[in-house]
Amino acid sequence: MVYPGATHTRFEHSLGVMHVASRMFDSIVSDEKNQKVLKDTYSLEGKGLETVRQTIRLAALLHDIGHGPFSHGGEDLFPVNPAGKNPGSGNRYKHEDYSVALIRGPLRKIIEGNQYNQSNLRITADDIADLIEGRPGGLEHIFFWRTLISSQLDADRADYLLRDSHHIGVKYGIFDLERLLGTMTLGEDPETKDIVIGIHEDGWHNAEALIIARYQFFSQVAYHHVRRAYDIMLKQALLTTVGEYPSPGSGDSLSDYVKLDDPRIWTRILDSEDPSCKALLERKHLKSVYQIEDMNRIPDCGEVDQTLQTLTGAGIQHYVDDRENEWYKFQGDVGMSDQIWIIANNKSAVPLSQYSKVIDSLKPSRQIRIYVDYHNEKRAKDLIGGSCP
Amino acid sequence: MTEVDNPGPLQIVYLVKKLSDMSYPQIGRTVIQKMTYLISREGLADYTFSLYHYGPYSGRASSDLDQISASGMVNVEWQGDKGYFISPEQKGIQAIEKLSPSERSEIDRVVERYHEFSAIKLSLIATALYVIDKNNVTDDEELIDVVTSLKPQYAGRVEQILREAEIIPLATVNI
Repeated sequence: MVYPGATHTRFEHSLGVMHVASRMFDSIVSDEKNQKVLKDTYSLEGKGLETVRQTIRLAALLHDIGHGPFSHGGEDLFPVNPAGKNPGSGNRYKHEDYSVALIRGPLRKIIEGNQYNQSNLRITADDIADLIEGRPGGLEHIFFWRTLISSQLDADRADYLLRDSHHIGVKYGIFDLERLLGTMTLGEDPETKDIVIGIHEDGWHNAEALIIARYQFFSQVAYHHVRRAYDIMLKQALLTTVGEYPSPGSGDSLSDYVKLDDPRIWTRILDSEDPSCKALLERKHLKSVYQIEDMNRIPDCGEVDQTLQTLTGAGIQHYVDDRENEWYKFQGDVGMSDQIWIIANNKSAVPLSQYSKVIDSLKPSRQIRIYVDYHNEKRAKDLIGGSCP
Repeated sequence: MTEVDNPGPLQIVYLVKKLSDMSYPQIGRTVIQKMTYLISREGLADYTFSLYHYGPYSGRASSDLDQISASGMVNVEWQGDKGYFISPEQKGIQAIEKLSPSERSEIDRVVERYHEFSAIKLSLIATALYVIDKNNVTDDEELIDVVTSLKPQYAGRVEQILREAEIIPLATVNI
């Protein structure tokens, strides 16, 4: 619709993440000073490092395997996790929960039955799931490598920024991957003395480029107003054709979830008479009739609430799109302004914002949009124009 | 819809103010993350935490800290080789009036229990509590082993710090 070239799949992305994670690992481990830190602090060397490397590669390959149909577009259909802290507040399962359930379940035989693994590495399905999930289970001594799986500096975003930009045909998301890999190293967090993975100070300009690329990609591509309109419409279509997804809990439920792939869902949408499916197929997409960039001024004038009341009063169906929620779907649990560590020659870690004035001036913003159905655009705009004093 | 729906930012402002009132020496990002985890265990802040080698971490709590910094409720500074220093601002002190008395007293209770522990110790304490919560560990030795594996640079100090925080012995202490 918006980016017709974006026909690539999560499979090739997963291969890319595995490749980039391997190269990040190799780059760090090839440095003699880092080798000494790994040996002295974590007793990691030789064969032990090879096992860690393969565990990271498998975690990188499989981290996204739990995504549902149309990936992020359907994540609001995940059921509430009864083990969640506040189930009543919408604490739903995440795709990572399905990834680890698949790894611990149907993929276990494949992983643990692999002949090379059995004879040499003895990596278990639980090792891989624990690393993805951050669950203590015997591999705690390699948890600092989770930075390569889930952080501001992980292999996931390093791959998707470049891959998506390439397929979509935009110049957002571009940074120098080779330089990034060549400057990755270990340092020490001054607050806790923990070992951290960061970028040597010689490469801080490239780290700056990575963060800017991520912000631009998110705001200009992932949060594009028409692309988001289709996400909301897909969610409506999924609600009517599938309903709430099965939980990742047990055998049958997980098997049912795996069957929900894109082709099967498309068939249901094509066969449906529901208006949400028709609108999707006829490309009569939702229209953004209101948006606000700076959440800080919202409480001052009650603009968003007033707009919603106006639309509700006029009986116009509307959909609120909060950029912050979208961020966490795309970024996982990585904060909007989480820093990349820059490692000086003395190995002390310093946040990138202390080197880069550009990064220091980047502030989190909570953009909000309100969408209405295609045929209600003019009426809604007429009603809400100038609603804030 | 608006900021009122997410109490986390104001709770963090209150946390910073409370720690500042108690003259906590360095209110850094680590301290805020770990204290937020301890508050979250009491059912207050609605954050999801994941375990890294530096302890339980929430990206949303980190973003909320940036949000209150950007809106002038707290001041966040980096100092040389020491790390972050966070302090409350007047705008934040006014904003925390919106917090309910019960929220304040829960945060007070957590801060009063843990304010004598440094960032490093809080990191070990929060890690131990996360391991207990997620793994149902009931054996002191097992708990010490897991925490030490995550933070081998503190091998030898873990047991003493967990005893100071009255996390062990597990069999007798209400955590």
